[in-house]
Amino acid sequence: MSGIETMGSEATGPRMRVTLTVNGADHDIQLDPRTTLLDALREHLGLTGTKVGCNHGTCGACTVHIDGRRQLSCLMLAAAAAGSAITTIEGLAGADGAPHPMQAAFVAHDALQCGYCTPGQIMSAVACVAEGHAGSDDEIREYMSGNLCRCAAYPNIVAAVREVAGSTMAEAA
Amino acid sequence: MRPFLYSRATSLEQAMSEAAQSHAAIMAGGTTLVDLMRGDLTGAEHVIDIGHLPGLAKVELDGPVLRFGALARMADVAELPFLKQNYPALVESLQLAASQQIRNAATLGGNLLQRTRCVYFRDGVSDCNKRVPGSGCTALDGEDREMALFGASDRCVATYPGDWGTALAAFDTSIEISSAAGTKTVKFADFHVAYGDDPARESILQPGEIVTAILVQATPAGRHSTYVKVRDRQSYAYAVTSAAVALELDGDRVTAARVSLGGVASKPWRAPAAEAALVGQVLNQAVALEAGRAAFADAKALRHNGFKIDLGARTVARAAMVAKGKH
Amino acid sequence: MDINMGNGGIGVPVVRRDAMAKVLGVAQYAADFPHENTAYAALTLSKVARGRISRLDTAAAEAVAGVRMVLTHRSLNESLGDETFVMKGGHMQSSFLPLTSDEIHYAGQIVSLTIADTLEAAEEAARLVAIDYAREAASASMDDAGLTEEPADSGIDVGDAEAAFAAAEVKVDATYVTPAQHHNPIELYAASAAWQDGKLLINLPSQWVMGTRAGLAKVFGIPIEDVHVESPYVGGAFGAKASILPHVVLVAMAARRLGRPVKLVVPREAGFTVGSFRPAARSRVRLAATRQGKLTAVMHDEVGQSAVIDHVAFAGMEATSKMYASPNIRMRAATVATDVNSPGFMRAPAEAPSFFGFESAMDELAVALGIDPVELRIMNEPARDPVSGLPWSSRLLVECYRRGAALFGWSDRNPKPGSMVAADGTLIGYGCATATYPSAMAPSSARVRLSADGSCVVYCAAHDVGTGAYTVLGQVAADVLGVPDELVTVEMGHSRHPSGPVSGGSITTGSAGSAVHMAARAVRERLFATVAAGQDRSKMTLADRHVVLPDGSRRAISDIIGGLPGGVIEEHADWKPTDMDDKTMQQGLAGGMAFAGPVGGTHVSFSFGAQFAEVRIDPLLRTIRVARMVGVFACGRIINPRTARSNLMGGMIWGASSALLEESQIDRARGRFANTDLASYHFAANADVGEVVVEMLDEHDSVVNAIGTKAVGEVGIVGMPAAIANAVYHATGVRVRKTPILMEDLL
Repeated sequence: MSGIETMGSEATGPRMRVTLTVNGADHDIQLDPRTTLLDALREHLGLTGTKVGCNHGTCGACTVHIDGRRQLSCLMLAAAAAGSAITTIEGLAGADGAPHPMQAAFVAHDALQCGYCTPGQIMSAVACVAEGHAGSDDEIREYMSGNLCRCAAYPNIVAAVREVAGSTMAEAA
Repeated sequence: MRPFLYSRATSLEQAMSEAAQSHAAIMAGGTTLVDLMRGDLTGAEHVIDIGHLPGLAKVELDGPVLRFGALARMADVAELPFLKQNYPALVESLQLAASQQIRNAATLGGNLLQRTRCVYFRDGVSDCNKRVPGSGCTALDGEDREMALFGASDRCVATYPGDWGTALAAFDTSIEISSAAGTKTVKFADFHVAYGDDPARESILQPGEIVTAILVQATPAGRHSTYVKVRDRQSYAYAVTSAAVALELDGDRVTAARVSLGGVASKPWRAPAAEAALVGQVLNQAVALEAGRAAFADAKALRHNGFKIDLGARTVARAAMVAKGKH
Repeated sequence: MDINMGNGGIGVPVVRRDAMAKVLGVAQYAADFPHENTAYAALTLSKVARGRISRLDTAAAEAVAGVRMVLTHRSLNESLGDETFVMKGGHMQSSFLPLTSDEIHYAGQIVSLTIADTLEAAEEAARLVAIDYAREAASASMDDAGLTEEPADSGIDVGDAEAAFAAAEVKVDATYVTPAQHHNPIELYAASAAWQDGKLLINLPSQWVMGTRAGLAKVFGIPIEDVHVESPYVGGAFGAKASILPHVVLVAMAARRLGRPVKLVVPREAGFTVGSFRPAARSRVRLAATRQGKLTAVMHDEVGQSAVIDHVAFAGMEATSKMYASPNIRMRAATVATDVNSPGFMRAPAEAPSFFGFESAMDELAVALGIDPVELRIMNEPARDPVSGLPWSSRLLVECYRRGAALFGWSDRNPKPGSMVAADGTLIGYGCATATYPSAMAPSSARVRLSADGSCVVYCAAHDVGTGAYTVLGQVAADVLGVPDELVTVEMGHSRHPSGPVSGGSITTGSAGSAVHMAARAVRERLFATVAAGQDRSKMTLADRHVVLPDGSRRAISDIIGGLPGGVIEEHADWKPTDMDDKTMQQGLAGGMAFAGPVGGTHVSFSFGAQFAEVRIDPLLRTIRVARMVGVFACGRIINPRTARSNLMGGMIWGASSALLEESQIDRARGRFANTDLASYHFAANADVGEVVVEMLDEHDSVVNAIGTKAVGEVGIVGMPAAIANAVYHATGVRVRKTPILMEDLL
């Protein structure tokens, strides 16, 4: 069932075996049920592109895609993510290694400074466009507000999302 | 976090039976529960994940009762065209809550059960009757700008933080609750318990009971409804004050009204005095403000939240005028 | 001056050198570095603000499976080297190191560090550390009764301001209040320590790897060479990461005792007291003027929140005293000691709070005089520093105002408060204020290597905290060496590099940039000397990876360097500001705090800006939105207009956020910060930010340093809170003399 196996209590407390599907690859890991998806990605799978900024769902730095939807990995138990397709910033680039258009747009618009919130911003931005919530600058601002940027690159982030949304709409037309 | 066992429910029946055991907690989207567990604000030793159960996310809008499956995700419901057209207050309350990432995970049922944002409850160290019954209420002589004007007592002055719940209070809503004993529905007004009575108890939900649906009586007032949320930050913030208003109109005259308040009470708070002040009146700014003032006539302010009596009245007034303008 | 504008190095909006690594998620921040067999740490914090630990029981914590160590004041029991507070010449965030005694000096003080095999076990065990306290009364707010103001040793006096004020025709006397605030960089404080053969390797987010190295060497009593500090990427700093935070020492100590790497990520709520913060402040400003608007007296009395454990003073008088021409100036400062963690540097530490009051008062004076606020400032522009009498190295404040007013559309402003209303009833307000920031500099070293393939590497232990230093320092070298930007690599943020300055006080480009410039010139000199000994080097140039000789013939760099032993030319430079002596320079290069400026022997050097804001206020709900901001700045030569613009824009948004949102609420009854999470400590989200226009004037400062750069990083925030408060007044007629300005202030 969905790649979860409870292993009962050992000396180290309850452990479980979980299969996480991250960026198209299956990973069998043994972990504490308390492990959040964020910590599983960072501490167990070495995927440190997903960042920890608050652990309370108040900053957006840990945003990943779960079955194509943007969600916060700090508020999700790793066990609850088993069976879902998880995409992180490391899985966004094309098969040839070329950056995703949103990654390129963030570079082009200088939509980052310290870069720490950036993976979360980009995961959120990709979803924002896919959801159809990038129709105007105000809509982008609202739907990107779940990702705090303390350097305050916001106007440049809006420009990057606007550009990608524009080209996506042009393709659709 | 305290250690816990995780299990993923394969059926509602299994979940209900496991949830009846002591120290069990139901998890749906997880956005509330994981955060609470991190703060050691639940005693959960067994987490039962119902987030993957089939069938509980269905939303049915075409009958005399709108039926929202408890596992429907906030973000999905916020996009439903019928709802946008006919019940803007419900959609707006979802759109203005949290962030899209959280709305993608959080469920309609779980949202109702989110717990207060009172900093003294959350900080894990202050005296708090909600966290440690009998320890006292720090907010009484603490930072109280965010605290409640209604439904509070000298035991607890925390506010209910939800938007969706506040909007639901402006409709004839009931909650479907399932347990091994069967399924029952309770009126939404009876679902939450005002914190002032027993701070540790926030809803009537008992161990083994699971919210399975939210039922809203269809009403023409839905079309003339809105949810207004006033925040310090433009987005991704809890309400300082909020109001949901749903109106039935004959021309400019109000024939029926429902008004509820958020950010100012220990539970989703209906304001019958405001409703009475609206019904029968030709709605204009002055009438709307009068209704707002009526809503807060019985408010009990602390040291730093008295401004919410005025702001809340204005919020109701804005909501009433916006609701009138909806088509 | 020796600036090669032809090669596309300096002044070109080169794309941020580190941007691709950051968007791909491969840039490694402190908590991202893997160490074999890492143990995880978690903190327990004091529940009380003052007193002693009366009972400590770690049994339950130690019983948690996987726990390896619970470090408390009892088990620490180790004498450490005498290292002190960063503002007393040391490197520590505080002169008090937690766990060195049973004393509690502030709420949220670290009382134990728990180490376990897993993060989950460490966090759970830390919760189970049982502590009782003998609690004493505490005052965490400077407004608490019974606290006394301690005057600063010196003030500033020019003329007789009291007499001039008393005699003035028009005057303003008002007091302005700003709250405690926290940096809250999105990257949490973190440290990961590993010991090998007596050497310490530490990963942490740092604005000062050289200072951190020197401080940790002293604490642990080991040679400075045996400490390696690695911080290639910093996830936001804003002053918070410029000193050694207490957890860093404790993590390193735990790692040494366990013989195993230890990693700690400090939770968001703990960061409010493990790190520093911007202290609360109060400004009384008195301004007097003739009816025509000429200032006759400028007086500023500042009181700042300090800590019992460390005296901290951030008066802005050095800057406010230099703003306007006045024959009479009187500045005073004082502090109030409170029971809090030591306050510290936060973006424009002195200037941001100080200018909120000072520039609000200028607006009040403009209203009292019936003179346009822009014109009032222009008519009081000083030709020289009114305090020292020295000339400015450059000052284009008037030009900033003229350009800013044009960009903003200031002439559309009807001066009458409440007179500008949108069709939907929204109240519109326009406000302006002056920004300034001192251009100080610190000594720096740098090494530049040019290889036969034309590639160039710059090494410097400076830091890019999001400011663009990776890009800018490379451009300086590229400019001197005629190397295309894509062939430049910059290595920073590690203590093995040539010494770099603290990345604080907006000094990196002027200081590290000058060192890179010096090293690159040395490389060029050697290149010229190699290619044509005895020829006139002043007539030789570098272009397109060739040396162009005086006779116009060209020699490929690859040929010249390819023939040298090692195949590279590499030069090291130690640079110091003009006015600095060698001893101070050596102290600085060894990781000590050594600044020169902004007042030098012959000139005074500040960056300047004119800032404008348009606010829109809901007529019913009184919510405030900043629809537009315009900032025009004169910061000397701009090496990279792209990164400088982002930096200034971020500063302006910080200012708006400070004006309308940010306050660390102090629960006075318990003496602790109440809103220690990002759900209740609000700073600007994307939706809070409207249009932001930033322009940098083409300013040539031939005095400040060899590359002509002044401070960029912090000036952006300085005028914004007052500009917004002034705009709020213009929209509503309500003068709010405190921040944050909230809806209830306008009801």
